[in-house]
Amino acid sequence: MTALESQGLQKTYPGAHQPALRGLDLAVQEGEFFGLLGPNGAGKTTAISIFTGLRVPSAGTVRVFGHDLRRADPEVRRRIGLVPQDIALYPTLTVRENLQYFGGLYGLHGEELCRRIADGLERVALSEAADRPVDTLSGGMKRRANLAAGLVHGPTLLFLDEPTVGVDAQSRAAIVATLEDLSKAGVTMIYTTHYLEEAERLCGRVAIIDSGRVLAEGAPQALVAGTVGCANLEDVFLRLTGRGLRD
Amino acid sequence: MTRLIGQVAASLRKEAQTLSRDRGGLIVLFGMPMALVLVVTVVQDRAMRFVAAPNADLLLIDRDGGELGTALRQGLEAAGVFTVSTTLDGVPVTEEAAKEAVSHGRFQGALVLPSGAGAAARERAKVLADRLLADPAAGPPTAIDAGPAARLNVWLDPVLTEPYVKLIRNVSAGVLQGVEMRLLVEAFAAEMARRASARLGAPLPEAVVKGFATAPLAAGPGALLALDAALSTDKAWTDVPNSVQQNVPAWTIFSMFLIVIPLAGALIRERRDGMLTRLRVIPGAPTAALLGKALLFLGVCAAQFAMMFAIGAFVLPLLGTPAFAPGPHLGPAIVVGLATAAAAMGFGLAVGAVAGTPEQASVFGASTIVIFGAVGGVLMPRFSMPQTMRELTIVSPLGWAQEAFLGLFLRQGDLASVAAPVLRLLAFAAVGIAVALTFQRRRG
Repeated sequence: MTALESQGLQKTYPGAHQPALRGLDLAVQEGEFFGLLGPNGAGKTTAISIFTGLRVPSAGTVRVFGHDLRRADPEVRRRIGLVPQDIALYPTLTVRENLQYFGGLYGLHGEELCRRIADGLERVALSEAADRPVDTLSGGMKRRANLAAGLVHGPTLLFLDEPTVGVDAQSRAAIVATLEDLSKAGVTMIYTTHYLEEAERLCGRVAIIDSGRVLAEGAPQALVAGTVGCANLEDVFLRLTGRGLRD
Repeated sequence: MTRLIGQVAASLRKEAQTLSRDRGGLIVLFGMPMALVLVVTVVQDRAMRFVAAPNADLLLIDRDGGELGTALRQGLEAAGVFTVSTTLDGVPVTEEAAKEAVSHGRFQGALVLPSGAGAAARERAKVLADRLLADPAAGPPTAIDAGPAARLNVWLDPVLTEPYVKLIRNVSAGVLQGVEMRLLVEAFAAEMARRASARLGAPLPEAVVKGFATAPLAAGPGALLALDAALSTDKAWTDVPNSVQQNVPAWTIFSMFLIVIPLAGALIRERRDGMLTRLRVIPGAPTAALLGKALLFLGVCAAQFAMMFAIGAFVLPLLGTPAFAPGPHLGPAIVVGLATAAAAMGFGLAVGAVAGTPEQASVFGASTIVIFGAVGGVLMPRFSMPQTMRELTIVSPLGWAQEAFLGLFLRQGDLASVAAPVLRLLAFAAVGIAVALTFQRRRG
């Protein structure tokens, strides 16, 4: 079954000279680990905002598990999880209290909530720091806690916006391991990153987008093999998007 | 619905946890109002007693020792404004001691009635009566050769305000006029009796002579011209509160509006740090988060209300002020308190939605509350403000709340009588929420 499908997705922000998305067509199958790659300003964050219902497209449709996202039942939307690029946690609350809050908003309570929290903390290796306020954690721990908050309700479609940005190698390895585990568990993941070797290793399929359009789409190995003179995904990426600096 | 209640409960719990760890916020919401109501009420107590129920302590040095001194003392005390003493620290007061006591502010004035003043006044009245009755066609004499007029010396505390000085002068002059009038009537009566006896060749009966002197005054003041002063309502009220009636509601309102700072700050941080993004992905969560905040801060306002009223009722009397007694108006006061809390919440939501940073919200919120407080008669009693500023009260939600509270506590009003300010507060809350939602949508 298709977990996410977008057709002719367009988005122009009020007052902007250029559209952020110009007819983005994507289809992600259930259980797939899909990478959405592109330089700064390519439209990745706008696309994720529309896929998660945070923004309304100027044109086009988004279907999640076969349902039009704008008309979808709240139960469909509850299957979506988001790990935003910001550490979207309350700094004076402990990690556990943050997870209790977000779990509570998803309607979880009692033993089930406790079990989900314990499970999430264990997944991101934060069980021992569970009762520490977020603002006392290191950068890597905060990022792992951010991931745990996106997982607490057990989403089946998870959007991750640069989940490993700015963390040390250890935390990055822990986050990547968690994502691999989730993928094995059948969670559909759509993930943006600037670490192309990480995307090459994790993603079954990627889409390289720029200026709001898909430039190439497919398995990383297939894209590398199909592009003459490219040894890895980064070469393909630079070939397609150019070497010019972006704002 | 059940899900929304669960979401609101989760939000309420989170907000309570967050606030309980915000020491600065708790000090602003509870510590500062507590300190303000205690300090300002006690500081203003003396001044507002003076305004609400003027009272001055006067020293009377009666060198004359006759009926004039007694009449003067009784007249001053009957004015209901003065407390008159003839001794200082238990001993009869001297002129030097009186001057010093007044200059040091222990007394607001001293009156010296010189020796022989009563006799001199009586003598002058007799001479005047003699002359007029001897030759009525000649009119009143231009000079009375019976020695100098008795003079009452008054020393006043230089810090007394002009209305007070006038009050002491007018009351003293009124008392002297009354005594003067009585002496004149008595002198005329005596002289007329003497002349009538001379014509009849026999003394008039003593009862008749006495009747001449006392009859014109027997009816007492108001027999010919009466003054009827009445309140324009059948309820006893005043526009001048005492310091407790002014300050307890005033600082309760002020403290409620202080929720604007943490509420707006929380909204901005939630938006700026990405929590709102996470919330917006969860169906129903933004509404639940907003309701959670609203409920928490309504609870904070209720706690502030209870705390401030309890301080007024139980703590302030220990510091020498009158006790705050809401009496039968507690129920309507709770309604006014809820409307005030709603207005403060609406304002906080609007500031949180419009301001870009918590610092902007904090500075704008705090300054606006102080300005609204000043023009609304919260920082200073409204009656002490110039007329132009009093008219500005109409733009201040803090002023509407104060108007409603004073309507209950001073004018003995009921909920219907304060409906107008309460409705204005609720309308202000609605406008604040509408502004917040509009900006929130625009940003989204």
